[in-house]
Amino acid sequence: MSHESLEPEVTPELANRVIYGDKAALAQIFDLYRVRLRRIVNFRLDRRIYGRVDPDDVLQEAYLNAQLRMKSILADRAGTLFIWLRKILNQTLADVHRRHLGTKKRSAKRDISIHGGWSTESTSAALAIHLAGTLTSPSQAALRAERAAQIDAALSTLSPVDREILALRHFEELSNSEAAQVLGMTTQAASMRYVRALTRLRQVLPAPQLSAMPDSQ
Amino acid sequence: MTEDSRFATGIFGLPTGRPTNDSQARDPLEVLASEFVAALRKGAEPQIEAVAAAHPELAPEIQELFPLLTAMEGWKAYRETTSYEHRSLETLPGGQFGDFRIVREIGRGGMGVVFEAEELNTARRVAIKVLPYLKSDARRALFQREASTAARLWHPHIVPVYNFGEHNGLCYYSMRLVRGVSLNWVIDRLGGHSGVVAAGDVSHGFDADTEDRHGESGDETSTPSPPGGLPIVAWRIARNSWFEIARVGAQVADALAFAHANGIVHGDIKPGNLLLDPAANVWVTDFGLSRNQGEPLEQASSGMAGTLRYLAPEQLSGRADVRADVYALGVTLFELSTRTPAFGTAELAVLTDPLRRPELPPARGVNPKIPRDLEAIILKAAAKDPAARYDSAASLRDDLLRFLAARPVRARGAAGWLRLLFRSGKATLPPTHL
Repeated sequence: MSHESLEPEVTPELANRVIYGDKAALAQIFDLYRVRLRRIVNFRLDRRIYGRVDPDDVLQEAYLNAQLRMKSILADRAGTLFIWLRKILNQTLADVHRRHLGTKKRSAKRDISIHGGWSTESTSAALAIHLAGTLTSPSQAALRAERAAQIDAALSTLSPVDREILALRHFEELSNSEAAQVLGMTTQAASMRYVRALTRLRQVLPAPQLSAMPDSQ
Repeated sequence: MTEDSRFATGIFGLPTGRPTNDSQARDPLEVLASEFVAALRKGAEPQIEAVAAAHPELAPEIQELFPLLTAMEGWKAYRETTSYEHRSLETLPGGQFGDFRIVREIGRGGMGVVFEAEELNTARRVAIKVLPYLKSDARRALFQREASTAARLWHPHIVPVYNFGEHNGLCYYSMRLVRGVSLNWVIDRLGGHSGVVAAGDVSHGFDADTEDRHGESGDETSTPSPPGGLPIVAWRIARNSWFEIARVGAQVADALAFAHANGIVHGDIKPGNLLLDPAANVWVTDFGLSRNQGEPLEQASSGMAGTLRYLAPEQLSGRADVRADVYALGVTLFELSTRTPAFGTAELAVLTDPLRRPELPPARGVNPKIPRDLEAIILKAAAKDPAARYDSAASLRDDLLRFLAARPVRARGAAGWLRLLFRSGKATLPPTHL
């Protein structure tokens, strides 16, 4: 009952075909994971190049890189195909950032910064686009803006690993075992780490902000 | 991808060098949290209390931590800017969009971007508001409701909606092209060195590129008439054009009164949604937040955090009626008169808390030249307590008309007529119409 099932379903046959170099199978797999991969790009793309780089172009580039790396898929020793794709995607992102921002200040801390893709400052116009499509009222939108700022501040006080595990679980929507693989931990360690990160975050966030959540999204 | 799938042992059965997952080794809180989050993402609205009741030994931690899960998911939804949505609108100008040819972008507001466009059949110029890609049917339905709500309103000071539809997955509606500027633009210009906005400035402001929108045009000699439009009347708004400001207010109030009489509250009145055309008429636009009275606020569409200060305090608590529009218009008139943002640099936390939101400060404290009657009207319209405000947009309009006619205004109470007796040297105004 307590399994973590994440769609889409990837059959062993499909996986085998990828391992044996079938590009059509890779395309299929990539397509199945497109939404999750796009979410990662949206989240991790440095906001300084947000306007210049189309996330879809990044995905396209990652796909081409995945094609090139298919031969060494076994050597890569990723636990799952998704993790393998994610790794390639992150390398692609690193390339994109390097091309646009140069090699200066890509510190390790920056690489796992939660604020890589999100801007806490937005013009009204950008905010309007952000909020478009959500079924919130102006009052809810206002309260969410307030909470977002609070959460931003709270997240920045956490340790990098705490921040990262929350990012992986919530913003990249990885399962516990996927997060464990990315972080190089056992699933048990990742599980406990997640709870610990939540606890620490809770200590930093003022209680009234949580108790009056207006939406159930 | 299930936890216990064969991929736990690596692709094609090759070991990864990591111990295979034993779900019992996971922290039970984390397991419950993962399920809770999965339900949240599906839109299932899981209840914290139910989870706590089902696992009493963990209840304290569940109650302590699970609101965080909701907060984090909410944060993500908020931040998920969906840049591709933004992008989809950037590729539009110059292209064909359904039955229209996009001429240029003329503004952003509410839930989308507004373009000037040409109807291919008729060559008529219209404005089109396009929303970013709407993902679900519920949102499309909401949009259609927005458009048909707006389309019901025909009034000299409400931008008429012509049509709505969907093209390439993007929802849009077409409306009258108002060749003017928003009151935000006017406020900015009034604060500039010339401090004057004339009819020519308005056309020029409309013609200018979006980036130039707040630049100084300065040149009042070249005032091109809009093609096929009204001749430009020689009027101007200067910093102390109280009667122009009151007239603007009265026009908007009249439009609101009409909408209210038709059961529609605008919900997002602010300078950005009020357009001034070269004939000095004001148009109310963007009924994107309007909802038929009686519906719960939660079903209205989204707003912008940047327009918080125009939101009536009771709107933040979810109870809003026609007086919320009165409040917003009062705040707008305050800003027109003082050319400063209504609550200065108040923190978001203060503004969004219905209890902590301050009363609007006296406008004459910011700009001593504001006539007392006008200040009184503004303060009454924007009183924090709805019961202290005008009870309707029509009442606000009528008081503004009294001000325009140099008659005592109700906002100053019964003593108004006494002041009239003692007032000295007050010129009699020619009758003004709306």
